[in-house]
Amino acid sequence: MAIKSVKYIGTRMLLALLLLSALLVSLHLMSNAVQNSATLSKLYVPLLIFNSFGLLILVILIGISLRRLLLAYRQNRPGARLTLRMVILFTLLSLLPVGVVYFYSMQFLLRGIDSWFDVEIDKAMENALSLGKASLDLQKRQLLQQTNQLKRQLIEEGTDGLLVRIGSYRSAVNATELTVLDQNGRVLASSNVNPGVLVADVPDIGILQQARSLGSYVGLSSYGGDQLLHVRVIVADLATSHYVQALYPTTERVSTLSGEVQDAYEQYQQLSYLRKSLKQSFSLTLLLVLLFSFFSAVWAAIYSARRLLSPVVELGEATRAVAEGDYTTRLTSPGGGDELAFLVSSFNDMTQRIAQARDEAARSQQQVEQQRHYLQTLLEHLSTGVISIDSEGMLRTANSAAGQILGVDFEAHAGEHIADIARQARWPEEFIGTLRSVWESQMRERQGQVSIDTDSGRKELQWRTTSMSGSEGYLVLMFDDITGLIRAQKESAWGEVARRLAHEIKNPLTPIQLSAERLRRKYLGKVEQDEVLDRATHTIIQQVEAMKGMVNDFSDYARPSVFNPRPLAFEQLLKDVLGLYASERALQCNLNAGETLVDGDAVKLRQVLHNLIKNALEAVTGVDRPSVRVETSVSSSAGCRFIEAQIQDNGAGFDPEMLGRVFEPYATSKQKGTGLGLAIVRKIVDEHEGGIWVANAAPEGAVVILRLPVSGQQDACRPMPAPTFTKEQ
Amino acid sequence: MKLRWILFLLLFWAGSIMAGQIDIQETRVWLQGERYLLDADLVYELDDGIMEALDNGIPVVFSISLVVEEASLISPQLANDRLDYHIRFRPLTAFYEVTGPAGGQRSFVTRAALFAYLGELREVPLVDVAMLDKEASYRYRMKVELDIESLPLPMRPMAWFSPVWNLSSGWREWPLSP
Repeated sequence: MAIKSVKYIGTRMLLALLLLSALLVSLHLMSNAVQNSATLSKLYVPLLIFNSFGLLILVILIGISLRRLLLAYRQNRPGARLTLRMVILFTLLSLLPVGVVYFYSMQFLLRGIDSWFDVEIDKAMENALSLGKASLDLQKRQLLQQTNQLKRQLIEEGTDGLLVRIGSYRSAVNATELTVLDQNGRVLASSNVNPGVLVADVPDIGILQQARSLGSYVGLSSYGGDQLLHVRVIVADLATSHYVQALYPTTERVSTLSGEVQDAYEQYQQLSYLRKSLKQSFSLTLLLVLLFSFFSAVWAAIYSARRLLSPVVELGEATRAVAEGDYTTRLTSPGGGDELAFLVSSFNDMTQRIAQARDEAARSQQQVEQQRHYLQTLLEHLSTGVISIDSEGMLRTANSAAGQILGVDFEAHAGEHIADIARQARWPEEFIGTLRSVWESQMRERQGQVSIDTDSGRKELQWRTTSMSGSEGYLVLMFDDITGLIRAQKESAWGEVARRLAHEIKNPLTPIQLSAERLRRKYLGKVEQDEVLDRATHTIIQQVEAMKGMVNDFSDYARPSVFNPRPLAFEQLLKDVLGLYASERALQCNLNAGETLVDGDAVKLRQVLHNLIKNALEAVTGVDRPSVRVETSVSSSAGCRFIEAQIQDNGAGFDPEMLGRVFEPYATSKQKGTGLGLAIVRKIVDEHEGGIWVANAAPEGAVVILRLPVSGQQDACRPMPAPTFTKEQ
Repeated sequence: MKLRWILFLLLFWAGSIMAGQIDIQETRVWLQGERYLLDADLVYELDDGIMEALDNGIPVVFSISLVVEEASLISPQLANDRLDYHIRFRPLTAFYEVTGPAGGQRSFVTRAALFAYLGELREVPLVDVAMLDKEASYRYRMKVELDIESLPLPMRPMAWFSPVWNLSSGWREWPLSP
């Protein structure tokens, strides 16, 4: 817990606390030093310098913090405004009491110091010193008189034997020391009460000069090891230029009292002199304490404001993050169990729940997306075309099968009305009307069959409608291309007819023909008016031959096909067939397929090509400038590579009503023929997994397009992509 | 702004010039028995502020530092002494009282006598002959200064930054030949 707490406070906080503690200790030591602590007084100036530097560092730290705060305020960072306000408030709150305390402390201190130096005390001290001097002055006069008498006596007796006599003289006057000096201040003779003192106390040159000029000198002096107060008396003899100095002891009491008065006066004088300096020292110390308190308060205000507002700032930033969609934000609880902790806890709960709800929604959306994708995939791979129309009749969705079957790019028509799309796609008006009645009525379940002309030819569609559950008013139109199915049914029916014709008609034809020929042989030229017989039998034989040909055609059509495919060069085969029509001037060739192979039955393909070329040449019979153009090329479409052969004539073209049925058996506009040619062609092409289309060409004529998959491409070309006919075609 | 600084520095410099000084005029080293003794002539020119403080009972200490060392790069010290002279004014007797390094006291009526006494440094033991190598060369250094740390505490901050009180002769050195 302690480690966690320390980590929370942080290194900077610890450093600041260390600095503040050091400053506090230093100020305390300085305060003790000011109070004349002998040990600390020597540290006063270093402590003063240390405190000044410490305060400077504190000011720099506060300056940096304030600068950051102001920068954050200018940049409108979250919480900066509130933090600055709190810092100003805390600072003002701390400045006021600290300032008041400082002001009154200074007043008290300065007045207190001034009170030490009252005028009365000053005068009393002066008087005490004067009194001390006055009490000694009387004694000094007596001693001067006594010393003058001693000098006269010494002079009268001369200097001879002075060394011997001087001791008795000293004893006579009760002096501590008696000395006779010459005019230069050299000792001539001296006697001390203490025999151990061998060196006389010689006055300095100034005292001697004074004694010489005034005749005498009387002064006080501390003397001896115990520094007792003595009266120094020096008298000068102008005749001999000698000096007599006597040091008289004062009484111990006088000495003690005088010393005490002197010390007290000296101390008072010293204090009086230091009055200004004392005030400055105390003021400086108090100022340092004030600055320390103030800056500490400012620093504490900055720290406390940050600490207090940090959860609020984090909360603000986290709220912004949540507003921007980041629900992973979690706040650290400030602890303490107060309202802020409760707020942070509630915020964390809220974001957690929002995140859970968002995840749930995302999962649901993903599931819906997966379902939609599944349905779309399903729809895309359905062979049934599916179109959804909203309640307004607008196209909403269409699968690719719908586009392929109807030959319409539904993506380009997204959002258009289905009726407009239907008209552009040339759907029959009655079908459009049916659809309109379906989505306008409540009877949504309808079905039917319709023929629609598309770019790839007429198609038979089986359609049905249903309403979409869950989407009010939506209609789903589904349709299947049953063109192939119908064609297969027709082909099957025609095959059955052909088989029966071959079976029921061909059998009696031979006896009829034989009978007609026997009649002709037996009775031609033997009966009268045999011209009739001749014409009748000839007609019978001829018509029977014709019927036989027709029956053989039907037989061929109905006969199960024997298909032997092998790789062959299509263009070479075409050239072989074209060689049979070399004399036809109308024929023009433009062959570009080269040696490309197709898997096919050469006999059957030759039959196809022969039939198509023959039909084209027949179509231009009687045309002024007949033209039959045969072109080949190798192309690719929808991943299928195929050979395309195009045969175009400038004949009369197909009757538009016939155009959709040209490949049906017995559908012919020619006077001659069974109408099975193109049906057989279609059958052979289907066996080769190719495709064949017819259209009228502009400005005249017809065009037949044959497509066969390149060898090995059958799988990719199932079904064979249909050509896109231009308007001219 | 620059002009103000220049003026301030000039005033500080002028103040330090006029504040007084301590100078070591001459030193002499002579042999007495087995010991070298030092005589020195010093000049004390003190500012009135110091004298005023002295007259008002502020004790003043002059500190004389003496160092004897080898005249080499490493300069190992053979002797390092400090002589403190405490001066105070006694109001009752009106004497200037000097307490020397050995504890002996002398009193002087006039300042002139006081500084004449302080200026004559005589027979100060410097170094024993036994400590010196005749082959080596030596030098002795000397510095006289007013000891600010001995002033009463309230005066020290002012004294630290005042040229009046920052009095020092600086280190002076002379060769010492054994």
